[in-house]
Amino acid sequence: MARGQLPVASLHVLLALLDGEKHGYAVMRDVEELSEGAVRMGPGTLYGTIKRLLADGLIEEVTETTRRDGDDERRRYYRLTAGGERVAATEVARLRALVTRVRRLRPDFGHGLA
Amino acid sequence: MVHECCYRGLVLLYPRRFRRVYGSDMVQVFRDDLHERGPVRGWSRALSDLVLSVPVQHVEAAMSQRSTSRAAQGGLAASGLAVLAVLAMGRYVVIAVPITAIIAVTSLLYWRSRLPYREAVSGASASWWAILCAGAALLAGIGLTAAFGPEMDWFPWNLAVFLYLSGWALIITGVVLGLWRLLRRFRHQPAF
Repeated sequence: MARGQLPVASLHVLLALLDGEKHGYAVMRDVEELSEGAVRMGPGTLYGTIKRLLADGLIEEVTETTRRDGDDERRRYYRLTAGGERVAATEVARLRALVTRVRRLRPDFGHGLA
Repeated sequence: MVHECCYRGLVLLYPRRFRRVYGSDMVQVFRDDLHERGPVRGWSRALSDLVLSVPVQHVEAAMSQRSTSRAAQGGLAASGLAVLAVLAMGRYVVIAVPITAIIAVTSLLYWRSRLPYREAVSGASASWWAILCAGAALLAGIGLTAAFGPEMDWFPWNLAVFLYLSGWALIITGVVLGLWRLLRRFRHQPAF
């Protein structure tokens, strides 16, 4: 299980998998969309992140998904484990709490930012 | 197709274990990206990613290999010491045997838990020589103790036979794993 806070790339991959299992390219595209282009992953970073998340038991590989949605090639799909969902929720709650605290303690900070 | 061949060549820069597991998927992702965003943007992303991720993967591979072999060696050394302790202090054999078993099993579980399943399996077959050496060391230990050790009228012979058979079992397991690995290398030609 992962300890401490998650790296940005790992958190985004977990969040991209919240709405169901996906193959590598779909994860990469969703991460970019989710972060509005702030987090851009290439294949090496993507699979390096997937490797670590698999090792930590936060995601799992889905077997028997060779052809779907008109895919004509074999693809590996990934999905969140219960632990991964818990870690993603904890991390989002931590970030939300951080933003709330910053707004309360530094009300002038971030004016003019969206 | 030319783009894909070039990228396939660049994937060879990643550590072997990583590219064997994920190499084909990476090429597939690169192909999808090229198809969707065009060659210029596809290549710019792929090249900047290579510059960042190749060193990271090499560092991770080196660290994982070091911690894996250190844990395995530590486990083997601890088990070996415990077995020697059993031979040397036969009076406490009832305590020493379970301790040996606990140390061996704990080190094995620790070692496997540090790696994803695929790597753990390939790591186990890669250490065939260590298993073979452990068996040979066990037999050598028994032989040396029998030849030069103190008189041990009280020594439980069932235990000696058990250790002797365990030594041969380890040697046979090591040889079988080594042969299996060799056969796999000839039969299975991975893309990377």
